[in-house]
Amino acid sequence: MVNIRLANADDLLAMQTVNLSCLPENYQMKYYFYHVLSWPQLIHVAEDHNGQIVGYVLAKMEDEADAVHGHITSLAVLRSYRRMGIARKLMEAAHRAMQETFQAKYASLHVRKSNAAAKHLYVDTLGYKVFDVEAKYYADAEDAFDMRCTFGQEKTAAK
Amino acid sequence: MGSSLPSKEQSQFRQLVKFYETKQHKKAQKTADGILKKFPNHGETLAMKGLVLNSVNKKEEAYELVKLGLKNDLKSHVCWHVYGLLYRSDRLYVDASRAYLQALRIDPENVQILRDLALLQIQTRHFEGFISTRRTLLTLKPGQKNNWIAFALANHVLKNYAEAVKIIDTYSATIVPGDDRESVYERGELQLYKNSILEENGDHDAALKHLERIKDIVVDRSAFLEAQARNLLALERNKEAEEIALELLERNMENSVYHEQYHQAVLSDENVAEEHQPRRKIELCDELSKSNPKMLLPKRMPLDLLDQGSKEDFVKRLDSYVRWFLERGVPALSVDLKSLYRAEWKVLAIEKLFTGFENSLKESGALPAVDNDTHSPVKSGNSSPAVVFWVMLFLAQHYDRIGDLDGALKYINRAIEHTPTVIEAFQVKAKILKHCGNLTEAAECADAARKMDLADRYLNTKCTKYNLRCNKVEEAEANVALFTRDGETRGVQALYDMQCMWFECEIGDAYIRMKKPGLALKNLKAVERHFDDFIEDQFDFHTYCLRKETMRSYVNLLLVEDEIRSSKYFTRAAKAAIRLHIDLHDNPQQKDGSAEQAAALANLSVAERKKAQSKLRKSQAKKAAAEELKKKDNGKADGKKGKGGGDGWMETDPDGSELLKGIKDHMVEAARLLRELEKYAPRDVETHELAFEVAIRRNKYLQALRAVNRAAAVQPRSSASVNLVVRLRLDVEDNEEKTSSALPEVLEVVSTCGTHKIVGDRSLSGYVNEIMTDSAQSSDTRLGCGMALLRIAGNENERSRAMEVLQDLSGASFKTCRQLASSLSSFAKTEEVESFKEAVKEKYPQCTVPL
Repeated sequence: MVNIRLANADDLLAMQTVNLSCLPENYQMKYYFYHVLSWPQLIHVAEDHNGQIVGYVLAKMEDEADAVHGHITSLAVLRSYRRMGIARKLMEAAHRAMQETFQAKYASLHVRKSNAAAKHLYVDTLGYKVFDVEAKYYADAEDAFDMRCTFGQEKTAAK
Repeated sequence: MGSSLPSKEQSQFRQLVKFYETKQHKKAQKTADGILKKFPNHGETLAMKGLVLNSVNKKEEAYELVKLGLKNDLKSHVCWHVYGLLYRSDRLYVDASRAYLQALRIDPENVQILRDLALLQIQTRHFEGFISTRRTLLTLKPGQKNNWIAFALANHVLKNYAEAVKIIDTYSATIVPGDDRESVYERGELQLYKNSILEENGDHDAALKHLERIKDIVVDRSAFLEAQARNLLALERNKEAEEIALELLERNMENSVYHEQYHQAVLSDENVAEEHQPRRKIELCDELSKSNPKMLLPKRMPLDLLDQGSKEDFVKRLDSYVRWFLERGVPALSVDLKSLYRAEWKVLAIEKLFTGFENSLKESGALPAVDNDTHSPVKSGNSSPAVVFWVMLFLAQHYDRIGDLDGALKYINRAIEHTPTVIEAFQVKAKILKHCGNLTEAAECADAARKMDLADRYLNTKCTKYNLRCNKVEEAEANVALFTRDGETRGVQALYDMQCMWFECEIGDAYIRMKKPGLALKNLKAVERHFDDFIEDQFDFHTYCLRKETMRSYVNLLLVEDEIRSSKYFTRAAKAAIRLHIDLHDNPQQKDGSAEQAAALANLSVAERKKAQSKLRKSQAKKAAAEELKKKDNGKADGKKGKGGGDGWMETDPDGSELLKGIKDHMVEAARLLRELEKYAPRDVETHELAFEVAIRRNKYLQALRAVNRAAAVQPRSSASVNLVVRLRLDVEDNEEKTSSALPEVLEVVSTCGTHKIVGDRSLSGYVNEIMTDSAQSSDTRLGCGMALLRIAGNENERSRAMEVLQDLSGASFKTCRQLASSLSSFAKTEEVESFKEAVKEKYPQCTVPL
């Protein structure tokens, strides 16, 4: 049984653990603190029946650019919990809060060029489009797709 | 500032302060030297120079200069302020506060110093001081928003709820729409903060009325609705609560709290009797499921709610629920059903259903047809060949979970044979092998999984962990390094920089098993340091949040920080470190890593060995004290690697030998860590087990007694408590050598409040036997009692009876067996330990690790 809810400060250590076990891009605790204290509405977690965190979305707002928009800092779901639709639900929750609370016009994110599974989720399920390519964006020199999902135009997930 | 100087130097001094504030350290130092050339004894300049040197990590010189400056100008608030800042940079908050207070005595209305003091007071949770400082600041600068919010916060944390609300109201009244001091978001946040204070005060009615008033300015819709739902439920305004809960569910159907609130509202409103409640809840789930067929929770929750009376319904629902997972090939099915394993009858029903699937697939190539009912999205007919695989994978996990490891291996091998390309199967197999004690093959299997997708860090993480479990440290480090590219920094330092605590705990444990105490301690200490950093991390946010007005989240963070050391990583590392210190105390020859010494000691008699060990300990303590002195000269280096900065914390003293040498008395260090555990993990029986071990070694019998009583309070009939009671009786109360040297007052307390209170008039073995009979269900308790009986046993007959208990390993996991073997070897006879190990090997023939 998986529960999807807004995160609070109590979840951050467990989120960091999930991040470190799943993804190559990692952050110190203070960066998680910064997120939860700046945009508390945007962080969501998935937990199992014992309250163990199995996935999260960490997001922020950027308003210095052309239009107010959200940015997905990090999204992870433990491999043992994949294919259940958790990532999609986490992303949808973050998107909703970006629009509702911060009047975001779109959400952006970076994804590795080689990460086909993630790209599939973003493009086919959530309605993201490739906006740009950032050469050697990652520490290991891999390129990133700079993707955007314009709100109001995203595909509605089939109900 | 710099007021005692001529005007030219005065302006230089102001330059100096500016350079310092803008981190232009070289220029700052030059300017300071310029002033000091003419006025070598100028206190404030000396102090400022010290502060600058502190920023470039010349700690010792910094302290000297600041102290000298202060000595030359005791009446300068600048000198005292600087002194405080210096302490603050070393996280010596109490000393820093004291210095600030001195500064304020000289200049009571200095806003900068007051602000710095307030920061320390909230950081150390000195709320009384905090409120008084914040009151002063508000009085001095009432035009600043931060001062109002901070004063409200001070009242809130002291539970002066009404006052806090009033302050927020007074401040809010000064804000007119369009005011550029606050964005819409900030205004809403502040009102939601006020609302949370009303709710915390239990004034739900006021909270609801307030919500109604702020409806149009709050942009955090979820928080708004959630607050409404909670307050309505608290007032039992069930009809309204139901409506709100439904609105929340429409926003997020996968939130179990929303479901629970919805159920509570409807059930209270309809006044449903206790015994009909689960049924009614299931109906509510079904209704929601009908209109939201893709959502999982409304379908999943009934499986938990159904009781044995509704077995048929359970099986039908389970059947239709799992088909979605099987058809889609979702590996998470097993973890998703885990909570159902709490009920024995559900376990059997699950097994029957899946073996039924297996047979049907074998016979007809399809899952059995389902009754035509609304819950079934899947029609009967041919199933894809993949379904067979997922059924076998599930059964492997099922048998693993219920402890039938042979069954589990049978299914996982068949699954892999059927489809050798699914990575999850190898992960499952690795886990089963681990449970068999076959850690070597488990690691190989996890490595096979890793190689199937090198870009997936999760597979890398699992593989690294399995390697560490069988002490393959080099392989583990090489593996994990594939994902730790952070510019120049690599390997363990990069992991340390990212606070990767699972790794530090696991590798620490591996080094303990490998008898490398320095390396073990280094990694366990790393975990402790991360928590120091987490506490320090708050500091900047005390100012930041007042500006951002995200006060709800901030107050939540303060509470979380108060308890952050109760996190599993902290307690795990502390427990491992304490155990290591105990071992180093008992076997000091390990510390120098000298094999000869160990061999020499082994040839001595027990008494001689003890004497030699104690001598060794003393000489080590002396050496450590000398090292300590030397270390102070070097000053503290920040652990993190800065840009172009020197080595990081993991890179200096990489094998932990300095760290280890620096510990003068392992029992003192263990006691220090224990105080943390007793504060942050008082409900963990292991805390008290360790407290006992340390107390008895330090001859602190009252502490030993306290540990036993606390363990008995936490888990009265556990293996841990029983063994502690027995040991207190045997090692202290009945031990003449110990009692003769103890103070009579101590003996008095131990005898009146000791084990007799727990054991009563029974004999010690009678007490143990009673608990053993009572807890026939738990193999852990039974085996623990066996161990206690072996401790008590006075003759061969009793010993062999205790051994009989210990050799019955039914229901005992490999992990339990391993722990028991280690505990037994601390007191049992060699042949007894051996025969226990034989029994373990018989039960776990695949086991590849030394017990």
